[in-house]
Amino acid sequence: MIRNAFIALALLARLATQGATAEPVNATRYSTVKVDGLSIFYREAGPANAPTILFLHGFPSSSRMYEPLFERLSAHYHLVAPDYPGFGHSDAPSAQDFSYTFDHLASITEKFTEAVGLNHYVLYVQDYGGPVGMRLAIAHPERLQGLIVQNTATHDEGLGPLWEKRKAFWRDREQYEKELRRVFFSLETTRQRHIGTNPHPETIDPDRWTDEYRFLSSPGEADIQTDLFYSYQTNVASYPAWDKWLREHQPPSLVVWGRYDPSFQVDEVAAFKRDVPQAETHILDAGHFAIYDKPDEIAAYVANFMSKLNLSDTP
Amino acid sequence: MTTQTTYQTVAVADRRAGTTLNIFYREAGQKDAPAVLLLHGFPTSSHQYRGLIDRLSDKYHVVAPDLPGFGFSDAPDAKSFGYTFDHLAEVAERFTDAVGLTRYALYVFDYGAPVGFRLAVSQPERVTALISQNGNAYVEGLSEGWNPMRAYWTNPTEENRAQLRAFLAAETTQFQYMSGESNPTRIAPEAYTLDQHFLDRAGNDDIQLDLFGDYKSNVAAYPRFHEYFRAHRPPTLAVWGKNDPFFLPAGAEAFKRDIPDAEVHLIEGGHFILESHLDEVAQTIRAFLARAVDSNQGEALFGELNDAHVPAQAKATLASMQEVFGFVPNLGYALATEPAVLAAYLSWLQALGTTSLHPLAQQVAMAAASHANAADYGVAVHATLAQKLGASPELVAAIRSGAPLEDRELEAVRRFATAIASKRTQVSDADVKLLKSAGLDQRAAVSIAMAVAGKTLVNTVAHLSRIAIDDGFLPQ
Repeated sequence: MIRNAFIALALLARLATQGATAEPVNATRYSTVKVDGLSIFYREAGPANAPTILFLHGFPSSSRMYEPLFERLSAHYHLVAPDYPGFGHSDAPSAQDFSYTFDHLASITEKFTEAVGLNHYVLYVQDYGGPVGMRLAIAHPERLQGLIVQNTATHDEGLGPLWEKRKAFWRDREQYEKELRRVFFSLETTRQRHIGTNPHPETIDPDRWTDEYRFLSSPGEADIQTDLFYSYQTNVASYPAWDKWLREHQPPSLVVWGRYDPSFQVDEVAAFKRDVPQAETHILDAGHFAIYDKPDEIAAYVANFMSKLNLSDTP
Repeated sequence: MTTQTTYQTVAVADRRAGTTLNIFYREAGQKDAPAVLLLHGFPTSSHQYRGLIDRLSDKYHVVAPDLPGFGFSDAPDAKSFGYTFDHLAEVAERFTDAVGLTRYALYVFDYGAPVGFRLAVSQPERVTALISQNGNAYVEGLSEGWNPMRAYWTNPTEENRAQLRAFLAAETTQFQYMSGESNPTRIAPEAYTLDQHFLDRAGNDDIQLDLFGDYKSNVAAYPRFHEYFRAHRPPTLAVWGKNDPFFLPAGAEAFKRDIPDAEVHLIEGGHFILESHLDEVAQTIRAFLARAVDSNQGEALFGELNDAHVPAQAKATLASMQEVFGFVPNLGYALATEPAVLAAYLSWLQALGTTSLHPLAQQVAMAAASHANAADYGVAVHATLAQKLGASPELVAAIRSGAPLEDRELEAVRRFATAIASKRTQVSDADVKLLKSAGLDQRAAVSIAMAVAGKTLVNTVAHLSRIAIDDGFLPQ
């Protein structure tokens, strides 16, 4: 009997193929593509014919914030994450030469999707990715296969008390700009966005905010980000129109939310569900950058959501 | 099943300056597991080890400090501190004392080599093994890329010093990552961006220029390092990117001169192969550590495992294994310690073979359970058997590294087996749902449970006996 146990293995041995170790096909690629004369950096991973998830990043991050999800989802999905102009490793023309508004970022992002040949995608949006992504969704509803929302608002309920000062800046730029610049771009604020009230700061890689701080401190960035943030008021003004669109289109939606976010209130989750009742929602013990805090959980929610969408591979 | 990395600083007394320095370090893994000390190079920091730490910390206590003047550690002014490799090594040694590291496998890269070898010379009893990844100790390892440095060593003029500023430029930093790599799109930009951030800090230029100048003290110390190699012959692995513009493969081969048993593994990449070939390097290191470090600890319990020590009742069984594999797997010897267990394992294997689970899925389930149990032996065996079943090189590589699998059904099997092993058999509704959504039924579920159960037995024996992975189960 013991000999029989090995018959199968002996057969296997005969089938042996001389395969060398191969690098995983899912490894992330880091590339750039020209859009409107600008070099746009993007990360891409996974099989090109699999369903696509387009990841839109927040402030003051870059596509890098999605790295933990890339590692966990690249076996099954085609993952694409660009850096907007003025962010990360994309070109950052000066604020004099380029108008930094959310309309403009959305238009570049739309042309980016065309440049890399994305005809359909599920959108994953966080922070600034929300207003950019909503513009994409409304411009091309036929391309949108699903919407994943994480710590970004399309309702007033999502905006916490921190926004009072920000709204004051929108009302009177001259008076409040100096204060905004002092706070917005400091190392301490950049660090705090990651640490927040996390009781275990020793679990947070300091590279996360060092990377962002280097980016914020590079020449011209303060002007770029100040202009762009001034344009954020156009997002808040668009909430009623966006919410109406959500109610009318009912995109398949997943909301994952870090509850310890000082900027975006957890009330947004209920507000979103009011407009999209079928939305699947999960509130996590995590912060604004929930992907770093709970990568396994969020990857599992996304994978589950994706499999429910029943999207087929393109031949 | 890696453990979460922590990011902390510890105060380290600096005897030369009579002050204390805050030394930043990354740490992961169980504190009572065998330790691995990772020493970084120029112009980087412990950040270069972020991926490797994730791939070692399930089995090892991994510690990676930033040297003074680098990364998140203090970077006192060049004039007051005196940046020499002797000084960096002294601080590194005080650091190991401060965090209580008294025995460790020493991983050295670039600047980490002259620092680490000084540590080894100073306290050879602490070093369980050496891993040099483009960490040089021989003159023939230095390329012509060092000529501007050599000019400064021979003739330390301001002019020759100024020439070296080119090594601090952003383009050079990026060049260090890209050079010798066939596919630059695989290199994440955050690594060289962070390096450049630290280089661009006020005063860091003089720190780095002083160290360029003092590098000649490393070349002068090579004979001392060789003496240590010959006297102590630590188990040694040289895993090198063969296209490194600064350190030539001859430097890897040279270790064999003083340590004849040194293993040399050349990789088709450049200086920073941890960025471009992480999984390949990590697997090579894990297999080496299993042979070099873990096996020494196992002998105490199991004694020698070979033909001379096989109980009579197990001899026929092992002979049949020999017939199948062409060799007796080390696990066979370990199980033969109790012949009844060996026999039970083999009938279990046979029974699993008759379940409804696809043969490749059986291998995936056993590899996944082994991975969850941090049993590299089992992962290697089942990756090899999957290959023999005709799995593609990509699939075999994914099984070996524990990565998600592209095939939906195999991936569901992998996840279910992982869930059983890592959740101590208490799988959730979500786990079951995932299995069913891939078209697998309750027969598959109980078969996977059986696969995991058998691996619990033999993975335990593999851990207890610390058996090395047989050559026949290593990637070809």
